[in-house]
Amino acid sequence: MTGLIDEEIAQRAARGDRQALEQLCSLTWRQLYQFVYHRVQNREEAEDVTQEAYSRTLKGRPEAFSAGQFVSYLQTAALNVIRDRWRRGQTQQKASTLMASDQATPDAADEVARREVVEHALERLSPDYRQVVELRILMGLSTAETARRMGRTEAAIRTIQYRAIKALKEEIE
Amino acid sequence: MKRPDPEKELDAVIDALNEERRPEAPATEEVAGLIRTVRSVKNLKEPAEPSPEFESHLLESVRQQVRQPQRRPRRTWWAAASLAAAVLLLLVVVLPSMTRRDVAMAMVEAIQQVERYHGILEKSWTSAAGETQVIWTQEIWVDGERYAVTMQDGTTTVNNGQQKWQVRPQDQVVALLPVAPDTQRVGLDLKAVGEDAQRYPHRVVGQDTVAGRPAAVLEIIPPGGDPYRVWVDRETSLPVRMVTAWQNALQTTYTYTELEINQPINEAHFAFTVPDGFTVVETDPGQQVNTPTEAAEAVGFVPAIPAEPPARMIAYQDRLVLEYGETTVVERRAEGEFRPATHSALGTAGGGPLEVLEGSLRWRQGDLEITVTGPEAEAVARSIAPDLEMPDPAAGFPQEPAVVVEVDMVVEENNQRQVDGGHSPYLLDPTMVTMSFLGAQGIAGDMDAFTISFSSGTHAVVEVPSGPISRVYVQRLIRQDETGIWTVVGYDPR
Repeated sequence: MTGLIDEEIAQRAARGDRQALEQLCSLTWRQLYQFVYHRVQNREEAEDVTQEAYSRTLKGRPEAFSAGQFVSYLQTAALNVIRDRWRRGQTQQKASTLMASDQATPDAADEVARREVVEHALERLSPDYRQVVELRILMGLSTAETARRMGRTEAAIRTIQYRAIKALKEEIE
Repeated sequence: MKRPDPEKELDAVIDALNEERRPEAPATEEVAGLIRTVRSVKNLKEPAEPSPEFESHLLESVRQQVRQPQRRPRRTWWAAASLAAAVLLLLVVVLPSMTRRDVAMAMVEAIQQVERYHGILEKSWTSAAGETQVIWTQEIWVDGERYAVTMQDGTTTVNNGQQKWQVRPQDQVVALLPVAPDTQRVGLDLKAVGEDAQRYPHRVVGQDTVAGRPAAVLEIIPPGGDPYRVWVDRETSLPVRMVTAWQNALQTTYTYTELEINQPINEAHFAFTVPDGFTVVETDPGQQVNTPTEAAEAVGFVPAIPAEPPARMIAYQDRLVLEYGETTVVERRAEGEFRPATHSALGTAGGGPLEVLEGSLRWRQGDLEITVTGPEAEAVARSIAPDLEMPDPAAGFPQEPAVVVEVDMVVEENNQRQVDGGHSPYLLDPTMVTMSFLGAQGIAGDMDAFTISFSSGTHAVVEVPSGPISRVYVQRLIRQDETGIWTVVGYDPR
């Protein structure tokens, strides 16, 4: 994404040029939205957080507008927004559901590496475990529908699912 | 306290994530770890696409922000400190308070505190060319369910709960009006906006000022309807402006240029008085009836009353009105031939055709003609006519035309733009489009004799009773709603 940002646009944006700011926003919003979505897993919330991250970054320091820095500032602002929301809205939940690696701003290489680890761990699960994870989490089916497709009871699916996620967690760690 | 079953807890979290809800907080650190793993797996999926209007909302909020001055020269240290304090306040207090839910919730709470209000309301239109024109200004007094509205020309309409009337100074007349249906009371009804914000999805889309006062811009999205925007005063949390969606190339804005809340209102505004020299004209004001028998006696026919009783029944000389909240049923004796509007879609109800227009259904049932209007029109109509079938917009034509007419989409797109700009409105009527098509082929036709034998809202078949062409097939190719133009795509020779 940073490769798309021209230094000249960034400089004009830093001086408050409205057209340049809009251009900067158009070039970057989709990736920031995806970044946020992966963390909140909710479209509406991802939109709100993305919007607030821009608001914070644009109100913030001029150095944010350096072509190489803008996206990092946006991501940091987005993570702060997510944390603030959790603090405000769900004191019990804390940041426990944030990824451990979210404590710092991840770069694209981190993201790819993390995906590979998860994919590899999924491949190492037993066929039953893998099927439950695929149907329930990746395809988003209900427990009842998963049970119907696998010819099991819903209680059995919940047990397999629990064990599968535990096994996956151990694999990933 | 009993510890929740971790299998069920994890299952509920996965359900919540699948349905894009925020899951409950985990009961134990062990489950929290499992949730992180579930999220890692979910991240293998592509994110859900944002809503189509998201990018434009985002750009708009960026524009709003840029309009505010960012730097001021020659600040002293205390000015810099107060600026920092203001920024801190903005980040810590204002921004969080301006999130979607907080703005809407604050507005709903503020409206609930409103018992009465008095204001000056302005209605204006903005054209696609960006020109704005004030249509009217009115002064409004609202006290609970009672209201009085005075227009610029002095015409005053009052509904005091028992009676509704209109004082028309230019005619020296006081007209008694039907008390129901009375759904359009004032252009920007605070109570109605509050109810919409509670019922429908909404989001904050920007910040603005109205009459120099800062306001948050809230977009309310009624399901199946056009989204509209409400400007919420940051200090009072009350709606002060409403802008509708674009309709027929016009956008309507209602703005309270003045608004006083909960100040005493002179009772004289709601008292029925006839000014000296004025005459009273009674135009069938209607009477409330309480049972189907009373209704039948009052209107002279046997009405069709749904199993769920209406909130109110008002009988007029020739019709019965049933009120279900914002949805209204009007029943009258069927007379003459039933001709659905030519631009309507057609379904079936009561064993015959059903006219389907946006927010309105009309059909014949026995010796009654029934019209249902409002947001719950389909459900209420179905309770009267259980055989009701709505048109299927995906259905296509019942049979393919014998001759296919070639279409130039560039021309059609230009035509649609013309119509959106207020020109060539005949393109919105399938019978007129048919007439124009026949004329272009040198065939004379009698448009009044055309009938529409099929219309799904997107595809329609027009029957032509005489001449070399028996049937014309038209389709909404550019836009598939009531603002979309019809285009001839085929015909059957006779």
